[in-house]
Amino acid sequence: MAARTLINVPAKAKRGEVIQIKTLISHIMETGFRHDNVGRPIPRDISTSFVCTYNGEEIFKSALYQAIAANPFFSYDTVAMAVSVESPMTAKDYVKAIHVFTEKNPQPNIISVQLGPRAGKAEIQTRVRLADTQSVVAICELSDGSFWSDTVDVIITLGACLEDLP
Amino acid sequence: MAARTLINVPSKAKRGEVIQIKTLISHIMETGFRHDNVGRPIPRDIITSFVCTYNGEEVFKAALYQAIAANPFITFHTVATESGTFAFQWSGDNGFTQDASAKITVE
Repeated sequence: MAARTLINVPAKAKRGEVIQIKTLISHIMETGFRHDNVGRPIPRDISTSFVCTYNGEEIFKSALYQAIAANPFFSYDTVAMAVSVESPMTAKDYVKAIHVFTEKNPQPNIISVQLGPRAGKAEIQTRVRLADTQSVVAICELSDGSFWSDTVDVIITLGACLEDLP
Repeated sequence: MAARTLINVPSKAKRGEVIQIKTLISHIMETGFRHDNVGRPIPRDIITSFVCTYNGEEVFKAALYQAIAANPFITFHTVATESGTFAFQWSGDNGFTQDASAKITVE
């Protein structure tokens, strides 16, 4: 089964600079110490080794054990979001659509809305799930065919002990 | 499965006024990216579409994705043109559909 990964490496750095690399992989990290609901032991299924190479040269390696927590990745944070576009919203000049995207969620789309001159005001609100600190991008399509976009950086603080409850 | 909905539409409005409509529906919005406690993937179960019609004419439409939080809350605006009914429909995975409506008096 392919696992999803999330890698955070600065895109640019100065020569000699110390950079931080963050990695996350979706994995259940089943300890092998638990039992299922009829008492059978659940077999161990953990990721045991992690290696990072830089231009082919190994620069970091780690052995992992059962005490490594399962991926906190899917403990999303819920964030209130509002998008508004300044537009007269007349029959000749209106916002046709607003599309909102995330950079780091496993699936990039958040919402796409279709508006028309009858909307009166191009403003929507909803609540979104964000997996990590990241940028949220809104792109709006106007009736004259032009596209406008804006980006907002959102900081997400994940609790260390959140578990992925079904 | 019937979902609970909560609709907030002003009961009265002046003709031509821009009114705000708030909608909420109870729904799990399961992303399909999670696993249960024995590692089996939990299948995706989300609402994918939301449409609002005003006296039969579509005035707002949205496509929803996994990034929308559980119990989707959506607000939008429309121009109060005439007295009548707003009809709301949500649809999604596993044949999910839910309807709701609200009346408005335009003076």
